[in-house]
Amino acid sequence: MTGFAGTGILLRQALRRSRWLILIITLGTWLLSWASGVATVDLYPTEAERVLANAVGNATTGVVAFYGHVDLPDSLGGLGTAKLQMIDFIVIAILVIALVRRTTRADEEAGRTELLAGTPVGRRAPLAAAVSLALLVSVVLGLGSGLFVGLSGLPWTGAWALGLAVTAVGWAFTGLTAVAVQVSASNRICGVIAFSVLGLAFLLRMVGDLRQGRPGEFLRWLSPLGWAQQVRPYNGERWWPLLLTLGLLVVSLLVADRLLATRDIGSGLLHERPGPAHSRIGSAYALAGRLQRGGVIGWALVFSAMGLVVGSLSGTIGSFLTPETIDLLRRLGGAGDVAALLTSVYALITGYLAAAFAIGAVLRLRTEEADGHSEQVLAAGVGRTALLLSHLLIAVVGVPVMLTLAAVGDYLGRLSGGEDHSLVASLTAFWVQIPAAWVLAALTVAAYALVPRLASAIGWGALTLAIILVEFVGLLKLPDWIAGLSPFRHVPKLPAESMRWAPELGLIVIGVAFLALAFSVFRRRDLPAT
Amino acid sequence: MTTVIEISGLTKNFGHVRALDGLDLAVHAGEIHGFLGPNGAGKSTTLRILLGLVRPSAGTCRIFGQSPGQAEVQRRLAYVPGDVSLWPNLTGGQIIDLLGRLRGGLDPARRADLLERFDLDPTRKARTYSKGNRQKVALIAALASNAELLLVDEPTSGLDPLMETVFADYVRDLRTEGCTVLLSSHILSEVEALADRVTLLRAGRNIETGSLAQLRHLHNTRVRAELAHPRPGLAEVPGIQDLVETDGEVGFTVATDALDRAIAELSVRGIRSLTCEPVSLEELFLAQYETPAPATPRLPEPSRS
Repeated sequence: MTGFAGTGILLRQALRRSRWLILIITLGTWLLSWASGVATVDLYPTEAERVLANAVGNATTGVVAFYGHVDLPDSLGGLGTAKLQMIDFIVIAILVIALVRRTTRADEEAGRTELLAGTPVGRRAPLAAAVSLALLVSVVLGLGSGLFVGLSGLPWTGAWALGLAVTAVGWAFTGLTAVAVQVSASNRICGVIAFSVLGLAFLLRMVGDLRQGRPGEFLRWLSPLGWAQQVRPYNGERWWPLLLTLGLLVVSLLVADRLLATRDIGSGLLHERPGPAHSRIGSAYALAGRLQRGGVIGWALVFSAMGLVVGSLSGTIGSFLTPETIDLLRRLGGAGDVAALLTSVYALITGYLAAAFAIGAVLRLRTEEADGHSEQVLAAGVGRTALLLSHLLIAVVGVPVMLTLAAVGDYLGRLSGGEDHSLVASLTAFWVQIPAAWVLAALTVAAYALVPRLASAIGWGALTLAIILVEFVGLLKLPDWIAGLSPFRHVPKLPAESMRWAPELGLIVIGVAFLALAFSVFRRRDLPAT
Repeated sequence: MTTVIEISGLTKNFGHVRALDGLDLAVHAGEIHGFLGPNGAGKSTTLRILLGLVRPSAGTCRIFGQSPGQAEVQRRLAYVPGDVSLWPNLTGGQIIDLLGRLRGGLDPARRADLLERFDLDPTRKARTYSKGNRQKVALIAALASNAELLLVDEPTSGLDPLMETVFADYVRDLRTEGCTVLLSSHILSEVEALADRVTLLRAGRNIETGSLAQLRHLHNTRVRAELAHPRPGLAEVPGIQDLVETDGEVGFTVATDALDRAIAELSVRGIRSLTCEPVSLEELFLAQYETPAPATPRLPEPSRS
């Protein structure tokens, strides 16, 4: 096989370029793994408590949907490792997608790959370097997580199973992204394809979990996340699902290599179609709308689908609800009846997604500036404030819209599942997440105005932290004030609890303060930032 | 005569790099003003300050009598950046319309005419365009607008000679309509052909300003002649320099005010053929920039990490 000349150099260079991203995410994941392990060991010291906790987890739709089942009734890892495992899976998948894309598509688009064409570097080398990097990082991150779980005191068999499962997810998505990179015509579309595959994989696994013991459970086996989950650390470990991910990796790399051979560097397999010769875009707002149009439609579909799917499946979860389990459920998610509890847990998770949408929308400002588009728009007479507002509005208006879509989907889904549910309950439960998503978006805008180069890191980092603080507050026994840094901690858990206006208004006030800072700073700084 | 752009003592520091060091510049209404300088001299920075994208560290800058960056000022000008970056998923036609509408108006007849003359397909997505085509999109968007002031940064660096001519013709047409043009360029022949006045920039400062005629006046004319009856004595003529005599052919440079006397000396010797060339802008440029800068502070070399 030829065409690999220079892979080593490109690999070293790719590693160097992404070293901070890799380092921070790897260390963060290792830390989380160790802390979760330690906390899990301490949380339910007696077997009876463990059995109860695991049963409760299995009975809660939101928990099962996001994290999966705990299959062994007295599983030592229980919910803690189930949570850790799923979060690790998603983190490594996102990291791996980013690494492969950066070194291949992004470079091609910027013309850097073309620069290499004048050197002896082989044709396969850029992809080989990207894939090698992603595979190596997966091994280090995955096995390291397993190591830290074992070091925290949980049994080693389960620890290594977890580590291998995480590595397997990384490997599977390396292969899938390698194929996506060949298919798409641009870096942005490649990202859309890769993340859609991730989302689909998550959805299939989620449906499979929710349909456990009923027809439809097989869907979990169509998803690499499902395979890795079925390695079952601390749940009766099985090793053969790992072979499935290995097989997927090999097959997808072969496919990617074949596609690479047939396409031109700089383009994808989908060829360009001509477009309209005129446009009616006449304002910065219209431009922002046109640029974000695809993303907004995609997100709208995601929110609607999620709402429908989980809503339709929520009523079918077994009603294994003894007084003890109900009591534990209350401790998990506040007072109120069980159905309300389930809605509030699910709404919170949708709130995380809404924040992700808002941050992504706002970060478009940064890419527009870095690409040299904002300066042309400003030179044509658009004011700085208008420019900032044009993309901010999409986030601000979009968040309530997305949450409404999810709420309506949830209501319709439950209706179709034969459940008697209130639309108002769904709507209010989801709307209550709005200020949390808004405040994170406002923080990102302020970061863009002040330190544009760090805006992406700050925005996504803040969201990740906000989620981890809330999800692991019980497990890690975090003090209230630390957990309180997360906006989601302050969101009232409707309809299980009653509405509290004070924290919501507080979040909005903080958001407005961030925005005021952003607008005043942005008017004065140089563009593009130097 | 109104001054459209007035810059005085403009200074800009990016960290410890001094991009502009007390620049003075004045562009009069209705003229085409050439803006020349080597890489790193501060041309793009000056344009950015004029557009309000970058704030000066010191000095004043006024366009149409106002400070840069205001909406009313932006609507009256059009900008063509040096390195054109377009939205990859929009077509060329969409981008032209978009920029035109943001500015407040586009002349549809001129737009259609420009598309034809620049030979640009407006239905192709911007990511499929070559560098030259991307430049054409930005040029068409600017030339078709109703702006009073055109700021162009390296407008034809990616265009072939045919398209350069199209551009030059349009700019001249715009001038007859009263438009002012600030043309920053490395392509000296183009500036020479188009500009009324020229400003030479070096290390963030203005080192020469004036019309080409004025600048030439300070420099020499190159003369080549074939003589019927060569005779010694040319070397002694005041003003004649760099004299080369071979076989009845003479070549020399002469200061403009000594030209009369020099030609007289030649005609006495019997002129068979005669070529007189005013010094080209290229020679002016090289003469200015080849010599090391005097005591004015230079841009420090970027430190290597």
